[in-house]
Amino acid sequence: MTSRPRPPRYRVIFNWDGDSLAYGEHPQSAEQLVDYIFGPLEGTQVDAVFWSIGSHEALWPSEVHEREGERRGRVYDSMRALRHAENVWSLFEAGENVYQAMVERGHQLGMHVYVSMRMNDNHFYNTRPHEFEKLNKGTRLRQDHPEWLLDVDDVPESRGVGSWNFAHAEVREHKLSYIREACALADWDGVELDWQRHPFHLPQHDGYRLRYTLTDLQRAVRRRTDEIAAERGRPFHVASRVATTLESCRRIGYDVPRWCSEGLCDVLIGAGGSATDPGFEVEGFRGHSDGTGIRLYGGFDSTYRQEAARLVSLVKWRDAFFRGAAARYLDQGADGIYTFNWFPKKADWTPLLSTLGAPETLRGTDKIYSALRRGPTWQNDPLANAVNDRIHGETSVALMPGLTGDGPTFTLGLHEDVSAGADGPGSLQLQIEMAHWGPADAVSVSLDGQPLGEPAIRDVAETDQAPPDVSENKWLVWDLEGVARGPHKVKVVLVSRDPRLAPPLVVEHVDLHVTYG
Amino acid sequence: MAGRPYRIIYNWDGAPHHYDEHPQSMAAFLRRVYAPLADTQVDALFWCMGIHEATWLSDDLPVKGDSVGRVYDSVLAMRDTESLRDMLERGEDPYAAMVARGRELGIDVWPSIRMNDQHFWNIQDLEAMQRSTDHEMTALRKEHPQWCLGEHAPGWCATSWNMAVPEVRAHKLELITQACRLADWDGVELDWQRHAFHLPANHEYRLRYVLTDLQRAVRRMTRELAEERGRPFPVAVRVAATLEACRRIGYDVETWVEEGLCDILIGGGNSGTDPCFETEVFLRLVEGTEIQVYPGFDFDTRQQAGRLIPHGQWRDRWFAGMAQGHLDGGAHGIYVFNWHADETLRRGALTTIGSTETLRRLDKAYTAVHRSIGTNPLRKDSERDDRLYGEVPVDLHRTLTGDGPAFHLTTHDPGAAGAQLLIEMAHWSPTGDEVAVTLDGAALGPPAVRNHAAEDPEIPADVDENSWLVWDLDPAQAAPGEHEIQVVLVKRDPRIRPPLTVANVEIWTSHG
Repeated sequence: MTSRPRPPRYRVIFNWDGDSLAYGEHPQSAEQLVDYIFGPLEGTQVDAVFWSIGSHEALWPSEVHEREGERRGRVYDSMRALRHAENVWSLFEAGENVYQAMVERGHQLGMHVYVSMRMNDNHFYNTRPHEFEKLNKGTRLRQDHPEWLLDVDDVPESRGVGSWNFAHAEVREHKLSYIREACALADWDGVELDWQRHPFHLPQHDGYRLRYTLTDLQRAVRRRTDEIAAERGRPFHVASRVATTLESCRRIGYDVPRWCSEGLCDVLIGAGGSATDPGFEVEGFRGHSDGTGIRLYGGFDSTYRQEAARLVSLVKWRDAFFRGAAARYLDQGADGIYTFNWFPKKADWTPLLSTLGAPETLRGTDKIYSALRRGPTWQNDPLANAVNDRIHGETSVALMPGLTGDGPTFTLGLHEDVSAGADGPGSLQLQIEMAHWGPADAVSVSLDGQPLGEPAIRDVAETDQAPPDVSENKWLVWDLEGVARGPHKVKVVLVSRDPRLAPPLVVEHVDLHVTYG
Repeated sequence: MAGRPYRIIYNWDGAPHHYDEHPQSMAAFLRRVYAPLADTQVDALFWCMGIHEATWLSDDLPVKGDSVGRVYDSVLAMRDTESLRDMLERGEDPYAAMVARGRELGIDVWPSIRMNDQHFWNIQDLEAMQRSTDHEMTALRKEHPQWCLGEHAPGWCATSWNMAVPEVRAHKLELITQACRLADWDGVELDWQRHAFHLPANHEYRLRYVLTDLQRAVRRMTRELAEERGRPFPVAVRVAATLEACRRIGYDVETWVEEGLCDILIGGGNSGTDPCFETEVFLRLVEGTEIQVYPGFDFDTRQQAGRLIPHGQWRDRWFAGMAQGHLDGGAHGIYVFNWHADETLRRGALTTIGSTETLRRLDKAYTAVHRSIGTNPLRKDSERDDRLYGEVPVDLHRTLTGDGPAFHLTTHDPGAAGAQLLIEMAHWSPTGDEVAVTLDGAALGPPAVRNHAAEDPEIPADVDENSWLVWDLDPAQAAPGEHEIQVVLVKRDPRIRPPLTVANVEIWTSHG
C-alpha cells in the first residue's frame, strides 16, 4: 500500500448537491455563487465541503463528455434549469472558473473542498433502458447503450431501473474519464465517490460476486488521485460513501474489507441510499478501518422516513434525533458527521452544524435515541422500498397476540451520562407511539426486563388548539430514572386488543428523550 | 439435554410409504425406512410427519387424504396415502413400530415437522388457492386466505402460512403437540427451512418475535411432555446456514439460544445444499450451553456441472470435503435431508461422513460456493436466502486495473498425496481466450485445458461449450487452510458475444 498522508479529522462534512447554483437570478458572479455555498457554513463545525458536480452531463467545458444543456442547444425546460447551468457557463465564457473559486473560498475559511461524484444518480423514475432514446432522457451515451443499463429484472425496486451496470467495462471507463476531468477542474482537496446516490450498480443477486468490478473502478480512481498528488506535491484524498451495514455493502457490491486493506480510500461514510439510515455499524466498520488511517463518518440525510406526529415540534424532534444519532456515532469511534441534502436555505441548520461534530458540543443538549425504523408495516407498504437501508430496523411492527405472552423487543442505546449534563442533570422519558390505539387496548412494557408502570397516554391532537382532540395514534409516556449509559431493551407485549378494531395495534416509534434544563 | 451427539442425523421425508405397492405391510414399511440406515453412522432418524394433514387418526385435524375425499390424481399419491391409512385403520401404529425398530438398531427416532412446506408450485395467488383441488390443500387454508402470505411472498409461496397470524401459530402448535404424543419419540424437529417463507417479505426481521413465540410454545409443550414421561424431550430446529439468512427469514437464533428454546441447531439451505454453514459462528453462539450444532446436507443439483469425473464420484468427494471441514470446525455431526436411499444407495457416504476417522483417507473436492439463482418462475426466489456469499458463477469482465474476481476455498485434508486445482470456464475458446490465475498470490503456469465431452466415451464430440483449466498442485499448495484463487481476464476471443464465465473453482485432494 502506498503511504499516503491521512486527511485531517473533519468535525462535519457538508455535501452540497449543487442546488445553490440556482439560488440567485442569472447571471451570477462567482463571488455570489460562492456566497450561497459557504454563507450558511461559515462559523459552524463544517470542516469540509463536498461539492456534487453532477453525474451525467459535464458542467464544465469538456471535450469528451456531453456538456450540460448542449443536446438541446442550451434551451431549458425551466428557469431553474437555466439558472443552474447558465450561471456556470457564463462564468466559464468570461474566463472564470467557479470551482476554483469554491476551493479558494473554502481554504480562506479553513475548510477542505472535495469534488463529489454521484456514481449512479438515478432521477429517471422507472425509465427502462430502451425508453431513454424515445423519451430523449439522459445523455446520448445512455440513449445509445441500453445494454449497459439495469432493467426491471436486474433491480430489487423500481428506483434502480435505468442505472448504469458497472459490470460493463465501458461504463467504468466512461465514469473514470468523467471523474478524471472533474478532478482536474480545480485544486480540490480530494474527491468523493458517492456510491450511495443511488445504490444500484450491478444486477441484483450478483452484487457480491461482481464486487470486483466496483473495486476495479475504486482502484482506478485511487491510482489517478495518487498521480495528481504526486504531480502537485500534496495529497488528493478519496472519500467513499457506502451503505451503513457491512451486509448491505455486500449485497450492493461494495467490498469494504478490500477497500480498507488495499487503502483505496481515506474517508468512509456510512449512509442510506434513501434518506437517513441511523443504523451505521461504526464498530463493524472499525474492524476493517482501524489501523489503516481511514476515517469514518456517519451520514445524515433527510428525515421523512422517521417523521411522525410527535409530542414535540418537528424541528425540535429533528434536532434532538440528529444529536442522538451523532452522539452514538462519535461515542462508538466515528471521526465525525457527514450531512447530505441539508439545504440551508430551506431550514436553519446552523445550530446542528455547530454542535453535531464533537462530543463536547453535544454534551448537555437535548437528544432522542430511537429504535431503528425500517418503515411502515407490511399491511401499509407491500412494495419493496429502500431495501438495503435500515435493514435491521425494529419499527414499525404489528403487535400480534402470542401463545407465550411475548412481544417485540426494541434496542435503544443511551450514549451519555444523563446525570452529568453541562448545566446539571437531565431527565429521561420513554415515548412509544401506538397506531390505532383504542380505549380497550392494553400492553405491558418492560425496560431491561423490569416492568414499567402505567404510562401517561398522550395524544398529539391535545397539543393543537384546533379540533379534534383525539387522533388515530397515541403516545405512551414514562418518566424514567436511574437509566445508565449503554444499551437497553424495551419489550412491548399485547395484553388485550379492542375487539372493535380490525387492524392490529402497531408499535410505530420507540424514542428515548433526554432533556436538559 | 440433547443427549449423545449423533454422527449422522437422517431426515426421511416419508417416501417409504410409496416404495411398495399398496397395501404395504408394516414389515415392508419398516424395512424401507431402515434399509439405508442400518449398520451405518446414522444415529438418529428424523421422520417427516406429513405436512398439512395429520398422518394419524386425529379427532380434530384433517387426516391425510381427507382434503381430496381419498380420490387421488396419481397412483403414487394413492399408494402414499392409502397404505398409511390402511395401517391406521387396521389398528397398527407405524410410529411406535418405527421407534421400536430404531431402538433395536441403536437409532434414536424423532418426528420432524415441516413448518411451512410449500409444494403447491402451480398455485400463484390466493384466488387460485380457493379453487384448488390439490392433494393436501386443506379446507382450513382455503377458508382462511387472509392467513396466508399472498402477495407478500414470491408467487409459489402465496399459499404459505403467515406466521404473524396468531391462529396459524395455534394451529401449528396443535399439530405439533398431537404428533409429539403419538409415540415414545426421542425428541422433535421443527423444520423451519421447509420452506423458509413464513412472514411478509421485507418485514421478517421485525416480526421475528412471532416465530420465537411458536418456538417457545413448542418448547413449553415438550417440557411438559418430558415431565410427564420422566425423560427429556429435546427440540431440534433446522434454520438457515448463515446468521444473516436467519435474520432475513425471521429466525431469532440468538434469542432461541439465550432462552434455551432448542437443543440441536441444524443449518441448511431452503433449496439444495448450502455449503456456507457458519459452523464456527453457530458454535460460538451456543458456547456455554448444551446445544449441539449440525451442518445440513441436501441434494446437490445447485452444484452440478459437466465435470471430468462421474457426478456420483464427485458428489461423494464434495460431501466428504464439506463434512471434514465442519467436523474439524467442531460440529457435533452431520445432518442429511432428501437423501432418498435403499440398502446400497448413499451407503458409502452414510458410513463415512459422520466421523473424521472415516473421512481421513477419502478423496475430497473443495469448491467455491455456487450461488445459483434459478429462472423457473414457479420457484421464484427459492434460492434467495441460500448460499448468500457464493462466489461463482461470475462473469469475467475486462477491468481497468488488471483485477479479477477472487475465490476462497478452505481445505481440510492434511494427509493428501495429491492435489489439483480445477476451474470451469463457460464459453471458453481455447484458441482465443486467455486468463491469468494466481493461487494465494503466486502466479500459476499454463493449465491443461480439458473438457467433459472429450473424456466421456458416451459423448461423440471431443469439444464442449465449457472447458476446465487444470493444474496439478504440490500437496503443500493445498495444505489445510483457506486458499485464495484469483482469475483475471487477459484476452477474450472477440468472436464470442457472451462474457467468459468462471463457473466453478475447485481443489481436489487425493490419497493415491
